[in-house]
Parts: sequence; structure tokens; C-alpha cells
Amino acid sequence: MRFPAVAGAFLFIFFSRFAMQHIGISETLNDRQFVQHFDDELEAFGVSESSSKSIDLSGEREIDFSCGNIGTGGYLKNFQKIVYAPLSLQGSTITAWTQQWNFPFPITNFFYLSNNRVRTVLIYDDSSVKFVQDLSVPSGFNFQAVHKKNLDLKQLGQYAYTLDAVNIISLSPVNNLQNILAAFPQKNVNVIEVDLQTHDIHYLNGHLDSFYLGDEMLYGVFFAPEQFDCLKGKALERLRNMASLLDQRARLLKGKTDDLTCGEKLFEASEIYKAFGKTDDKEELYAAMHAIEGIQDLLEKHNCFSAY
Amino acid sequence: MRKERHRGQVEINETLLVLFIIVLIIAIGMFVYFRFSLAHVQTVAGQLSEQDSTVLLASIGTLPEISCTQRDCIDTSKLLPFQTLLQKNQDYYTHLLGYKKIVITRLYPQPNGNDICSLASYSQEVYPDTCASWVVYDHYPVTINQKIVASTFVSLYFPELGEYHIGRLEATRYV
Repeated sequence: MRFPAVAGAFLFIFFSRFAMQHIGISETLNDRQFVQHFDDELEAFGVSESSSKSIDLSGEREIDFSCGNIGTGGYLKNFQKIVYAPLSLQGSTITAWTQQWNFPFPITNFFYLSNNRVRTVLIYDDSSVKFVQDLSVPSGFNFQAVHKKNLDLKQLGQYAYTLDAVNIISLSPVNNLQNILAAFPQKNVNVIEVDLQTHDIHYLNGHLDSFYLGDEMLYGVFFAPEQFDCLKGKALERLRNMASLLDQRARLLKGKTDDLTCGEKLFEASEIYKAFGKTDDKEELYAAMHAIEGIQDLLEKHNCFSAY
Repeated sequence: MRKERHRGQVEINETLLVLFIIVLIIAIGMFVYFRFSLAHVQTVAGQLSEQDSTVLLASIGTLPEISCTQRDCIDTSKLLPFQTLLQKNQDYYTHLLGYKKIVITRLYPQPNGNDICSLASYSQEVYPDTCASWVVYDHYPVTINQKIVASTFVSLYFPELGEYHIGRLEATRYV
């Protein structure tokens, strides 16, 4: 009697373990399949210079983002793409937007991901109306631009209970931080002040200062303020790579021209591209960007090879 | 007493035999199940691999590292600098492109030979007639079981000539 009981218990333990392991393997496989598919979707989507779409996640899912890495369940994949998204997105659909980052030459595509549980409120004033008018955030994003004089914090806070996070981006100085924070009690709120003239970014409740290079990078703050600085580091690396490639290209093309002016300008371009690789300083990067733009105009004017 | 012990022995033997047969049936069942599971995983991997190749073919031509500023063509003057960049940033590009070989070949006007373009051929006066193709990227695994090839026509821009030629972009995926 004892022997069949022991054997039965042994078989039961064996099958339970097998079933659990099988569930684990299936989940891992499913997660990997999902992440690979998601990567391909973004890759195909990134072919366009500017585009937006709604990605169906085939059911409720939680996707984690960590400085360009994307994962679900226990699996995290190292993505080479620059994806501006909150640390975690939960839901059955994700709204995606892509923009090519130019500074001034094309460098890479930025991806912005969000859903209706993350709200971005852009507060502007008369001096920044033009920027807001030119802004074309796709309708799928939970995004709202409000003039400073029309800002009603009580109304904004009213529907906050349905949200996971709120990003308040102000294009003018913020002097009512405590009121803003009080309007969204128990919420993950990021209050950020952006200076469009100096390209500076101040995290008012995070005590962090940063800067952005071009509007495409600024949009990253709208949707992923928590990861912005880390992703900026990755973007700068791409900028340096692209500048180094264009430096060599300018030198090769210089050897193919007989025109002295063209040769000189291409040499200048090559020197400026080198400068991109040597600095992380905002002012110097913007100066190099303007210098390359100027040289490109001159090259076009003189009918020379382009700098990029 | 002896007869009872003998009966007990027979019953234990019977139980063991039944247990052995059950375990055998389970083992066969598990073997068949794993074979099917493995086949399913291989099918999924194949599908993902195929999807990846198709997406890569569409996206590689729009990589800012090799495409024209307007993304509608391949800027051939970027192809040699890209090879230098690849050597400096191997980690990044092997993560991005994986085990693949990407070759761009000029088809029309037809080149004079079949040589691979290099800095030496570029510096010659008669370039681009000195070479026919560029090996943009080549990273292969230790053992290659299968090669999946996909190709598409591309427009090749030669800034040195201010001309557009017709070419083929071929992406080989090593499995």
C-alpha cells in the first residue's frame, strides 16, 4: 500500500513541476515573440520621416521601457531605437509617433509612445504661440495645449483619477508649482519648465536641469520626462557617429572637386563635423549646427557637393 | 504462509509492471509533445525571421547612414565612410542588424567589372566605373545552417557625377 502512494506522489510532483515549467516556457516564448514583433512594427513604421499609428497589443499588456530597452513579463530586449515612452505603459493599444531627428543633417528616427492613461498638458503664453501652432502632435495622444491665461487646474485635476501619470510642460516660467502639484494628489506628476530661446529644460519637482537639441528631441520631454536625459545621451552618441561619417564623406568629396571654393567649404565642413565629436556642450553643439547649415547653403549656392 | 508471500510478490510485480507501462506511455507522450512544441517554436522563429528580413529590406535603405537626405535613394558617397563607422561601432551595428550580409550592386549603367568598391577604387579618376558593388555589412555566425536572401531595386546617387543609377540592395540573413 505504501509503495503505490509514494509512486503516485512522485508522479504527481513530477507532473506539477512539468506543468509549471511548461507554463513558464510558454510565457517566455510569448513575451519574446511579442517584443520581436513590436520591434519589427516600429522598424517598419520608422521607414517614414514622420508618421503616427495606433499599435494593437492583442489584449491587455504591460510594457516596460528603460532607456531604449523594451520588455514585457520578465523579458527585456536591448533596443537600438530611441523610444520616448513612460517607464511602463499598460493597456491594449499604444499610440506611436515617429519623427526624423535632424541637427541639421538626418541622424535617426525618434519614436514617441504613449496611451490615454498618460496625459501631457502643454502650457504656453503669447511668446510661444507660434511654436504651439506649428506643433502637430497626433490626435491619439492624450495631449492638450492650454494658454497660460486659460489654465484651470481644478478642471484639469477633475479627471486625473483615470490617469497613471501627468506631465505638465510649461513654456513660460512656472510660479505656482505647489498649486499644480495640489491639483493632482497621489499622482505621478512631472512639472517641467522649457525655455524655447535657450533650449533649457528644468524639472521643477525633480530638481534636474537638462537641454534639448532640436524640436524632435523636445517632444521627447512631453512623453518621457523620466527617461529624457538617458535617451539624450544615446541620441548624442548617434549624432557623433553621423558627424564622423559625414566628416569622412566631406573629405572624400573634397578630393573629387577641382573648384577651390568648393574644396575649402568641404574642408570647413569636415572640421565642424569633428567639433560635433568633441563636445557635449549645448552652446557648442548649436554653434556647430548653425555653422554646418551655413556651409550647406554656401555649397548649394556655388553648385558644389552637399555637406550632408 | 509461503503461498501468501508468493501472492504478495506477484502483486508487487504486477504493480511495478503497470507503473512501468504508465511511465512508458507518459514518456512517449512527452516525447511526441516536445517534438510538436519544438516544431511550433521553429515555425514561429522562421516566421519572425522572414518578417525581420522583409522589414530590414524596407528599412535599410532609409538608414541615415547610407541614404540620401530625402531618403529616396542611397548616397553612394556614404557607403565607404559607413564601413569605417561600422568598424568603430561594431557593437551597436551588430545589435541593430544581427547576422546578415548587405550588398549594394550597381546594375545600370552596367559597370566594367565585378570588383568591390574600396577607397583605392574610389580615388581613381574613372570612378565609379572602377567597381560594381559595396559590401555594406557582413556579420556571420560560427556555423551557418541556412541563408535567406531578399533583394530589392534601389536608386543609387553619385554626388561626384550628380547622377542617379539603378542598383540592387541584397540582404542575406544567416540562420
